[in-house]
Amino acid sequence: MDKDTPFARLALALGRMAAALFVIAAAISVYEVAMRYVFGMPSTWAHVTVTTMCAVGFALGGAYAMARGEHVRITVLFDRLPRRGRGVAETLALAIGLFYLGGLAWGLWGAAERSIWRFSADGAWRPETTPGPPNWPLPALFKAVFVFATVLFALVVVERLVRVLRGKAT
Amino acid sequence: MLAGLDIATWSALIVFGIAGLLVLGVPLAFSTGAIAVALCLVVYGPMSLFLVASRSIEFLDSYVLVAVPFFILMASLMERSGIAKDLYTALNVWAGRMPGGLAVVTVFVGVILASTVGVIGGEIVLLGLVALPQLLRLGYDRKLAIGTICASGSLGTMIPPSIILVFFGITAGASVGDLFLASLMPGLLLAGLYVAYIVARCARDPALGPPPPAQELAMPLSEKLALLKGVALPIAIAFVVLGSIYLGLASVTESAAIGVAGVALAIWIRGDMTVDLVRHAALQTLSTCGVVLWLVLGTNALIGVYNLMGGIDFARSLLTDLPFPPIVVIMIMLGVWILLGFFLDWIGIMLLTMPIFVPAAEALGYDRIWLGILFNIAMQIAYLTPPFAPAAFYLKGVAPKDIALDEIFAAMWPFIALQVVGLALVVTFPQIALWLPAWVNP
Amino acid sequence: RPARAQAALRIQGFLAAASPTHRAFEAMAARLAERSGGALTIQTLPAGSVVGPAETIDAVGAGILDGHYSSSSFFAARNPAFIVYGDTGASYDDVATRDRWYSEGDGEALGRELYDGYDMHYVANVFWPSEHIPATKALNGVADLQNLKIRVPPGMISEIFGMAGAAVVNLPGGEVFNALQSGVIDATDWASPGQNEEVGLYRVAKFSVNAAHSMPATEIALSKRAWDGLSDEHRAMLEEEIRAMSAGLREQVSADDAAAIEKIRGEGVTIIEWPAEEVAKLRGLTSRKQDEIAGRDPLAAKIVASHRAFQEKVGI
Ligand code: NA
Ligand code: NA
Repeated sequence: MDKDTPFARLALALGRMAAALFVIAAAISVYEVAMRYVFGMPSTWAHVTVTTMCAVGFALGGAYAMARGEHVRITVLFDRLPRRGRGVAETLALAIGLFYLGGLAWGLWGAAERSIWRFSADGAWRPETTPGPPNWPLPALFKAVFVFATVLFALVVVERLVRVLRGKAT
Repeated sequence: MLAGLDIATWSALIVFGIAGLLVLGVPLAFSTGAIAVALCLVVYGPMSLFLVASRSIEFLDSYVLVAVPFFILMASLMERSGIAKDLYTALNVWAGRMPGGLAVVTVFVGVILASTVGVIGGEIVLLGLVALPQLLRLGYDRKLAIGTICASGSLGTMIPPSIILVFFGITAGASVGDLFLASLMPGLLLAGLYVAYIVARCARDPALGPPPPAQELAMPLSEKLALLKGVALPIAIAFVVLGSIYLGLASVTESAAIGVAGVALAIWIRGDMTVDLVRHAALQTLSTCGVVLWLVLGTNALIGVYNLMGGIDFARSLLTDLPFPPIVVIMIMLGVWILLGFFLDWIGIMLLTMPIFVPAAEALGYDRIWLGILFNIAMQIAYLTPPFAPAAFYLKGVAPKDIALDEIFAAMWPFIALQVVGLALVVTFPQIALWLPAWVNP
Repeated sequence: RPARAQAALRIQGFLAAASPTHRAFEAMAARLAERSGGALTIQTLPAGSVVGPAETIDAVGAGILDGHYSSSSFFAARNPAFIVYGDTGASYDDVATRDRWYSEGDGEALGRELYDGYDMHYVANVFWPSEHIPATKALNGVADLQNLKIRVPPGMISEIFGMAGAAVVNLPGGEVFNALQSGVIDATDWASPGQNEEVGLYRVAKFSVNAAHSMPATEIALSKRAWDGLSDEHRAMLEEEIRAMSAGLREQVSADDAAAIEKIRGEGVTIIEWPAEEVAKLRGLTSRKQDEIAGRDPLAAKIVASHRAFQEKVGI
């Protein structure tokens, strides 16, 4: 099974890494509270960093949940279909998923390109940054991750579709 | 040919399209998003896919959402460490012989948790991980247990603080503080209705909510007191979270992170802390967020295209110059909210309807605060109504595998009915909502 | 494309539908439709109904929107020129003086140049009122900003507060109310007194401080394609109606603000007007920040130089 689902395995592996971001984000938030309340020194980076870390987790969570077969669906009709009918319904469901993810990825590609491929008047590379200090390119980074995560999600769907068409799964 | 259709036809096509895809078993994460992409392509051309992307980026990359994973992480840590089990074992013994006692306790826990979060999600995950196994172990009726958890877990946005009320206040130009105060009594009213329903049903048929086994009840007082230790840590955590909000240490989102730290500390004190425990809790968080947030992404994109196509003006044209008395117009608004709640999440409903409803209600002489509370209760209903029922989706992710989505949906109806009763009461007696802000700010 | 067939301009605003500015926008659209006999209509989309407030320029570029009614301060991340154009900080003593920069100075010409770089036509400036800071403690001057926990959205204004020694807290708008109530923050940047009062900020903040700290620019701009597609007659009509809308807003919002101030005074809120020398101190910090930003981009430098010249002209 593992051999013909490399993208699902990649999604699971990346998910395991991304999950750690939530723990780190919580730790940063507690640190921020302490710095502000105890020392009166709020940071300008904590909120943006925490937001981006969680957003990266959310983006990769879609492919991760797909690889684990956890996306919710209504199965009232599906469960009553004969085996062949289920195959058709599943193919349709995955094709619709691909259509959506393809459209989303296409749109995200443009947004990411505009965010990353930016130059200042003197020609220096200036990817989109947070509006205030520390002016890290977090928005550009997130958009890049989001495109990648959406494409990975789509590839996991393709893998599943191939298996369904070969009759290996329903 | 398609591009020439008017907005009324489009609206009908969209509703049938969503319903059709859902019935066919298309994952919800794909159905509304696919319709949004199709509309973009057909009506505005491929360039407009920017809209789908832009809304999705804006939605995920937002600080408002950060509280969701923090609270789920906290819930998952509590469950895996055994803190939660000890809590419910103790509550169970102390809830005694009362039929349905543990379900009633669950509603109370839901209300207390609700005062520490402003979003939906984490609380349902927490109750789903913690209370559901205990209720099932004791032989509670599955539907009663599931419904109790989804309904009381949804109170997170009903009892202040609440992200819905904050957004409504900013959208409608209403005092957020007054909205918080006004929502408190209706929130408690809903909780009271849930308790009354549980008690009434279990009194008629004690098998629905059986008391704990005799040997657990026949415990000597010293043992019962020893069980209180299991309550002490969770109460301390709840105090830390509440305290950090209300004493001005932390913002509502940050307090969820403090809750995570508090639970981690409690686990460490118990000597249960392991890397594996944290890793599994974090993965649970990732997977729950992956499922539910990707599902909202699609509806969020759809609402953007629909607004662009003239959805707001269409809704306005339906509502203007209705030859009805004012209260009927309010009933129509409630009906629209409940109807949209079957398919959309609250952000979408707010974006679509508030531009029309706020001025309309005002022109009729109705209080904006009251309107906000009615909206908030309608969104409680929307959390539970299938097919787009966020409460069910959050629970599904953590419930035992043999609990299917259909069973969760089926468990909602009595509680939806109770919410409708609550809504009717606040419509009939606006003072339920309005006396508290009036009393605090004379 | 249905909207095209109706010759409607799809323009997204930057505030909620119930806000005075968006209502004025809708009323303007209605007058325009009437004057043009239905030939020139605007689909007035409230904030966030199609894309987020900082995304409208890209949405115009993608052909989704025909224009926006927004503040250039939302686009600070694109180009430093948007920063110095989008908010003049404490450059002027009041909005009335600052607005003469549009009517007598280069304000609109520079706005046109700025939007030109994004394939958009800046049609006209729209009035935005003077803002007050709701605070839980008295702030009588720049010295009181020292260690003050104030929430300001990231950007030039928050950096200026940082220069004044404030402990600037980044919080999303949705958290401001709770944070002010519980004491996580002592003050917040928000909007004009009327708007602050409406969302209930003075329930928890018993001081309303006019430090002239922030004067955002708001304007209506169309895609070049949409603007070029309009007849001369329609262009003139649109410009006239936007100016009328701006004048109407100046009158109405000023009345709303006066009424709100009257009301909150009665509720025990103290109104603090900073004396000229304190505003001047904040202006000094603003100028330093503007000069720094001017060094990063030629158009930003041009905008800042124009403000310096106009400040001299009005005797600041
Ligand atoms: Na709450
Ligand atoms: Na629903």
